[in-house]
Amino acid sequence: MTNLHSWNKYCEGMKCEWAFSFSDKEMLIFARLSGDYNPIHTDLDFAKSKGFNSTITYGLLLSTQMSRLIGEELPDKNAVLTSIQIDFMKPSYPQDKLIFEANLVNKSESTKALEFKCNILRNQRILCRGIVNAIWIP
Amino acid sequence: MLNVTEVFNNLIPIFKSVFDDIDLVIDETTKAEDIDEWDSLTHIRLVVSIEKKFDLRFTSAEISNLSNVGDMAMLIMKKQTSD
Repeated sequence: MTNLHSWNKYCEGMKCEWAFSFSDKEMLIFARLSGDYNPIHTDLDFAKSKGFNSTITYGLLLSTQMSRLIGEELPDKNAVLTSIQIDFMKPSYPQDKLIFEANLVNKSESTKALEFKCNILRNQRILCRGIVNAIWIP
Repeated sequence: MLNVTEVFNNLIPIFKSVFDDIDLVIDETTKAEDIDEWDSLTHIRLVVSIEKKFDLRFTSAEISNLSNVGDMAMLIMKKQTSD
């Protein structure tokens, strides 16, 4: 059944934002899920030897917030992720208090495509930026 | 305002980019069945890229009535005139 009323809740310029962080336990879970045990993410001394303050958070763990955007933070449950682009500009560390912000920059009426520009920030400084594309399925 | 030849010439690099094929050859009669990679998601990327390039918005009906690239070029021409 089509539900264009729900589609009309999307508008260009729509913004959403939330706070999040990842714990050491969640880092370990991601290591198990991904199979990536690189010591830059798991060994404090190794990470420090490379010039970081701590082990660094997996980039793709940060990108999970893009999944949350499409799956949980939109006006309905009808959007499906089709692509992501993400630039990791500065390292993030476990326990960092982070903000994810997204802005709907393009809503295509003809194709029901949605494009969001996203940032992940710590203390108002951008650590990651990216683009999320989704399609809306009636 | 671009003429139809100029519109078509602007479509070529969009197609090459969306299909990630610098050797892709298209003409006015090219249709989805002629390009293996032209599936539903690629179609969406193509339409959105064209909307951005020409700074216009199509309706679902306009898109569903197209049968080939020439139709698309003509539609762009028409919308440039009407906007």
